[in-house]
Amino acid sequence: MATREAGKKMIMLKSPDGMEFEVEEAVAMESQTIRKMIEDDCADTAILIPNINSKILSRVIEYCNKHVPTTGATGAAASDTVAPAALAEDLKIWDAEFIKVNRATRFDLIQAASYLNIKGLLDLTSQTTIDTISDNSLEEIRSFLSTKNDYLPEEEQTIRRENQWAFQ
Amino acid sequence: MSRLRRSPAPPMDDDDLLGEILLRLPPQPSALPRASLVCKRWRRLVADPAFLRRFRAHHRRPPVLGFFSTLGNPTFTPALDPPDRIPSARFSLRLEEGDHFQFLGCRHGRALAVNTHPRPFLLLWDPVTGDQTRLAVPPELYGDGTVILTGALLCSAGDQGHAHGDCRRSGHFQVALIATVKRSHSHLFATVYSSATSEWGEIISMPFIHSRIKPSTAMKYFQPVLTPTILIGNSLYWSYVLGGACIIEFDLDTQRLALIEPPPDAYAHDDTVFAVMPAEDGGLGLIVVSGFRAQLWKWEAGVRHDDATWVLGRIVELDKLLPLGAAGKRKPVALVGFDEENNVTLVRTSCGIFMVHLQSMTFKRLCNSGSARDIHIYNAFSSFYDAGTCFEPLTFYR
Repeated sequence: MATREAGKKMIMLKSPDGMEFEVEEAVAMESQTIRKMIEDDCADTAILIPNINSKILSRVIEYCNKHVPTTGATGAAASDTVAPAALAEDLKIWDAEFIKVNRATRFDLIQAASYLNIKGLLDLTSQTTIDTISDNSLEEIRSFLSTKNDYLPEEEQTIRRENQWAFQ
Repeated sequence: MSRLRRSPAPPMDDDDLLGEILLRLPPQPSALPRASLVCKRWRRLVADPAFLRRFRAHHRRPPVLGFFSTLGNPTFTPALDPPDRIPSARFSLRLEEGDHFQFLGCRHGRALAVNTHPRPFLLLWDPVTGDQTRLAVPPELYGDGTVILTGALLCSAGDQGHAHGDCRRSGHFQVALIATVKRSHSHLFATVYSSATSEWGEIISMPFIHSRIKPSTAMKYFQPVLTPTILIGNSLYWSYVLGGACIIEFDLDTQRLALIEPPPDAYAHDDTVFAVMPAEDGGLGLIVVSGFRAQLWKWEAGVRHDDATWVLGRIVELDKLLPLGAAGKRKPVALVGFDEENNVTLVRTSCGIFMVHLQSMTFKRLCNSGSARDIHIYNAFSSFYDAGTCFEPLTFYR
């Protein structure tokens, strides 16, 4: 496995469209799926991530880079000088910018976050999706998510009647 | 070269991923009924018991849906705004001729009430699902000589280690009952029911002699004012006010009843009200309201067990915090309820009832009328609205 400055262990991630990303092992291990592969010694020189194209994979790596805990030799300086609350606030602002993407990209990111088991990214992408739809009408939600209403009118009425207060 | 397994379908077509997204629906009661109306697939997903377990675990704290009054048959007062405002009727008990319930408390989405007429029994009731369980009251605690003062419902699993709401479906529970001698209040009795053994434990008693509580004619005619139960560690606490004031402690581990004196000024004047509540560090605390000033006290352990004393913490000027106006300052405020799970205090003023979160100093006005139901004490009811008839299979699928 490749190593770079200060003896940091590097790992190669490959997307199905042939792109290669060399990332620090700690960054890659933000993904619980990759962490398990490394810990189980299943990771060789490179890990092929067959379902995530290079555009999405690079965004995922960008997220992990930002969110990898800043402890140890390189991170000590940052966490010594910045209060944890300020760091968290900074991350929140960064996340808000990061997630300003179109719907298709966000869905790809949800899929990647779930697939690679990156909890923070899954939280961010799923919560943003829910926040986007939560103030909308049912019709708007259906159209936004390309979901078809498969209820018969009388079925829909029955459900509305049972919890009428929730639809006021 | 290592390979990960093949990819699933796009997020909205994959049940696991859609479930993952729907988990982030807000905990407010309208969220799941509304989601279930998007399409049949969404309805199936949000009705799945495994999804609901994860939904509760994800949110951890259920919202305060409203309050049950402790006086008379339980009535529900909603606390949320539409579309989350659950009408009173949705959580009303179906009463039979002659039923007379006294609401004792609620915890983790289940309520406890005692029916005192015609034949006493305890009712454990999940207002959301409508599930009911009846328990016979031990005959020693209900007869000519004794009267039930209060009670509490507890999860056998304790407060830790399970998501709120899981317990109300399957887990074992305990019920603690506190009774006293009719009219004289000369003794207190306590006993605990365990659903694991389906039996009541030993009835323990202690003389209810308290320097601050003098036998009075009031005891013959009035019920004491008891605040909703507070569970701290493995002890239950109630404040008792009738011709004096004290705090009743029931230690569930040692099965011991004890009385704790409130701070000297806690019951100095008729317009002073106090209630036990968790202190900011989670220990036993007390809120004492006199006029518009709320004092937050903390029970601090001494070297020996009986060395503990009350230590005054913060003081909150409620007239500065709440928008009372001239009308609201006509009468002193009263504490009318408390929600242990969300740490909110219910304060009645002459211009409405407020839900106050003393730690964050935030509040919400629940209703504008302060005069209605003056002597009621309210029990906050928090729960996830995660069940209901809308989740039953529709019978008319073609």
